Parts: sequence; structure tokens; C-alpha cells
Amino acid sequence: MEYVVAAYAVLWVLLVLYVVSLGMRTSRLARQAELLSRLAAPDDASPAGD
Amino acid sequence: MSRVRQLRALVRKDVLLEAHTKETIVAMALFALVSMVIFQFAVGQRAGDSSLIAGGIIWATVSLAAVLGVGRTWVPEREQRVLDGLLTAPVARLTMFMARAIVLTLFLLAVEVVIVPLGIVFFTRQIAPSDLALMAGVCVLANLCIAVAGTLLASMSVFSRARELVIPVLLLPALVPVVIAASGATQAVLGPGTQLAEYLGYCRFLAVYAAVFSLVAYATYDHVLDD
Amino acid sequence: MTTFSMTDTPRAGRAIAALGALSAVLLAVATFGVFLVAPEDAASGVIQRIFYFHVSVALVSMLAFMVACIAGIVHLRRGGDGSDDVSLASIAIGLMLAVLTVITGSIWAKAAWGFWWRWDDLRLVSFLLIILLYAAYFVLRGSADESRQARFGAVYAIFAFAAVPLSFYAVRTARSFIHPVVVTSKGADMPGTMLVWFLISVVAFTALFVTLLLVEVQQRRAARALEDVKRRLEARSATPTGGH
Repeated sequence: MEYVVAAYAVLWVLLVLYVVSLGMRTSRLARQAELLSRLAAPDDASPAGD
Repeated sequence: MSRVRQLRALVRKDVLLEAHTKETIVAMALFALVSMVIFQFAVGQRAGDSSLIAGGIIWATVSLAAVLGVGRTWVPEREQRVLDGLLTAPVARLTMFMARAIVLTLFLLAVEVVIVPLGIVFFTRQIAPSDLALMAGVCVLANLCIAVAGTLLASMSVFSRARELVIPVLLLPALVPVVIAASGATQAVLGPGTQLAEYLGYCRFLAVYAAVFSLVAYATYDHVLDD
Repeated sequence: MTTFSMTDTPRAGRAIAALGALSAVLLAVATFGVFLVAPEDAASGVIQRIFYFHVSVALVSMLAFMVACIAGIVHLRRGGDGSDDVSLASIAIGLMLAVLTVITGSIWAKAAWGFWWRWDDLRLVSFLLIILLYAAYFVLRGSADESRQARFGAVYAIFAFAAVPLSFYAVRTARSFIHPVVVTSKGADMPGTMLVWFLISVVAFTALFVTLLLVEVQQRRAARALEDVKRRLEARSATPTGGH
């Protein structure tokens, strides 16, 4: 039984780690988006159409 | 007609170039020989009857040497800036691809002419001449497998950074089935009593492998050399 | 782009939510069933319960590689970033599932025979080969120029998927071609109730795979859009005509 639980635990730990890595990538995207929005803010009075 | 001539010209170019310098084949053969010695001391020494592992050692060795050969694919072109010329020349991509695969097959055959007899001498006691003919069959089939898969992968790594790192990592996993089948067939020949049914079964597998990857290569080579 | 439309973001978001909820429910049901309802296997006892998720994960990883191959074909046919995103994300998830297959299989081997590894356990050995094969995908992508990554990735996804059945078959004939190892003792015959729980866990992991795939693809789209904006901003600041 311990082996079954261990196998199941490994499965979930790896899946959770994967989701965490997804989340970390998302937060990096969010950081970049924030940075870009701050960079873009002063110029936004005149909407550049390129 | 002209396509056959182009193919022959491309193959001739590489064979002549290699006949002139001999650097690739000599390096491959020496590398294979060294690997064979290393395998002998790493595993053969304790194996007792080394005729049980002869096929395995021969094909592990050839597959490692193939990495060198595949790594040299397209290199003469790249070093002498011929590749751009070739890619713009009115030569069909398929012809170029086939020429490279044929050249690679020939190189591997040249290495095996040295390595397989040496392996047989080193690791087995007696061989019948008919066994050598059967071995030649395995060599040709396995070379086709290695050449088709190797040329496709080499064409992708020719443009990449660190190609000498990429090629073994790409090629060797794909070659594992070839090593399994080729050493199985070799073992059927060199082992105690020639087992023809085993031999033919493995050869059929090698033929299927070559056919499958020829199809894959045929379907994708255009995208690989499309620049 | 491929079978699921992922072009418009709000719909993709709803799909992720729905599929995520579905896979959560299914996984919970599968866990409950596997541990508490499914009958004990007469031959191998409690260890057999590893079978349900070990084999489901293996099957779904094969499904992932198949999706990657199909997306690769679509990419070579029509181009576009969407199919490349699907291919790349599928291989990433499939590789993780293949690693999980080997780990759970190794634990099973330890429980059943007392060793962590057996070279005659076909599923372990085949999946080790699969891992090596698909790990090379990321090496290839990493070393290719940016303009070629998607194309070479697609070609390799097709190439590797062609190698999968050959590797499986070769491993089975590694000892002898005429007498290949065909059946391992695992789940050769399953009573009906076991089969039901097995199928539920296969569906649960498939739903999980599709959810993760959608999340990955959306994330890649967002990353590309951000890159695009960044490049435009840089271009605007380099030529200060549009500013003050």
C-alpha cells in the first residue's frame, strides 16, 4: 500500500510542480505587461498608429 | 534522366572529395576501433564467452562512429560556402537529400569493411564464408536506416549552433531500434549455429525502419532545406 | 488552429475553465474509485492499484505525442504560430507524463519484484527511450535559429512520432525476434468493474492534458503578443517622430 501511495504522491507532486512552473511563467508575463504599460503610459496621449 | 545525372554528380563530388582527403572515413574507422577496445575492457572482459556480445559491440561501435559521419554531413559545403550555391542551383532538394544519404551509406560501408571483420576476429572463434555474406546484408540494411535518419537530422542541425552537441543527442535515441535489430541479426549469424529465421526477422525490421524514415524524410525534407 | 479553436481568447478562457472543472471532478472520481471502490486484484493484490493511473498516464502521453505530430503536420502545411504552440506544448506535457510513467512504473517494479528497474519490463524501457527521443526535441529547438525553431520542431515532432512504434517494437524483440516478449502480467484480463475505473482515469487524465495544453497555448500567445508590443514600443522610441 505504501508503494501505491508513493506512486500516487509522485504523480501529484510532479503535476503540481508543473502547474507552479506555469504560474511562474504567467507572473513573468504579468510583470512584463506591467512594465510595458508603464513605459507606454506617457506617450499614450497621442495614440501611435503603427 | 537529368535528375539521375545530378544525383550521380553530387555523389561523385563527395566521394572524390573524401578520396582526396580521407579525413572522415579514417577518423570514423579509428574512432570505431577505439570504441571497440573500450567496450571490450568495459564489458567484454567479464562476459566469459565474448561471442555472445560480438553483435552488440560491433553495432554499438558502428552507431557511435555514425555520429561522426552524420556530423560531417553538409560540412564540406558549409566550410567552402558551397551550400548557398547548391541551394540556389536548379537541383531538386530531394536529389540533394538522396545524394547525402547515399554518400553516408557508402562511408559507413567503408568503415564496416574494416570494423566488422575485426569484430568477428576479436570476438568469435570460427566463421563460415556464408556468414560473411549474411553480415554484408545486415550492414547494407542498417546503413540505409542510419543514413536516412541521420541525413534528415543532420540537415536540421547544419544551421544550428553547437551542431556537434546536437547531433548525438538527436541521432542516438532514434538509432536504438537499429542497434537492437542489427545486433540481433548479427548475433543470429555469429552466435552458436546460424538462425536464419531470427536473422530474416531482424532484417525485415531494419527494412521497415528504413522505409518508414524514408517516407518521413520524403514528406519533410523540403521544409528542412527550405531557405 | 487544430481540432479546438483557440483563436478567440474569451472562448478559450471559458473552455479552460470548463475543462479544468471537468478534469478536477473526473480526477477526484477516479481517485475515489481506484482506492476505495475497485476490487482488489486477486493475483498481485493492492499493488495493482498503481496500474490505473500508471497506464492512463502512459496512454495520455502517447496521445500528447500524437497531437504534437498532427500539429506539426498542420504547421508544415499551413504555417502559422498556433499549430507550433500546440506542438511544442503537447510535447512538453507528453514528456512530463512519460517521466511520470517511468517513475510510477519503477515504483511498481520495486513493489512487485523488489527492484527499482528491470530491463525486461517493456513499458519502463520503451518509455525511457521515448523520453530520450523527445528530450532531444528541446535540444534541437534550443540550438536552432529563431526563424527555424517552429519548422524544425514540426519536422522533429513527426520524425519522433514515427520512431515511437519502431522503438516499442524493437524493445519487444531485443532478446529474440521469433519469440518476442508479448504480454506482461499487468492487467491482461480485467473484470468489468476494474475496466470501468480504468477508463474513467484515462478520460480524467485526457481532460487534464487538454486543459494544460490550452493553458500553455494561451500563455504562449500572450507571450508573443507582449513581445510584439515590446518591439513596437522600441521601434517608436528609436524614431522619436510619434512622441512629443
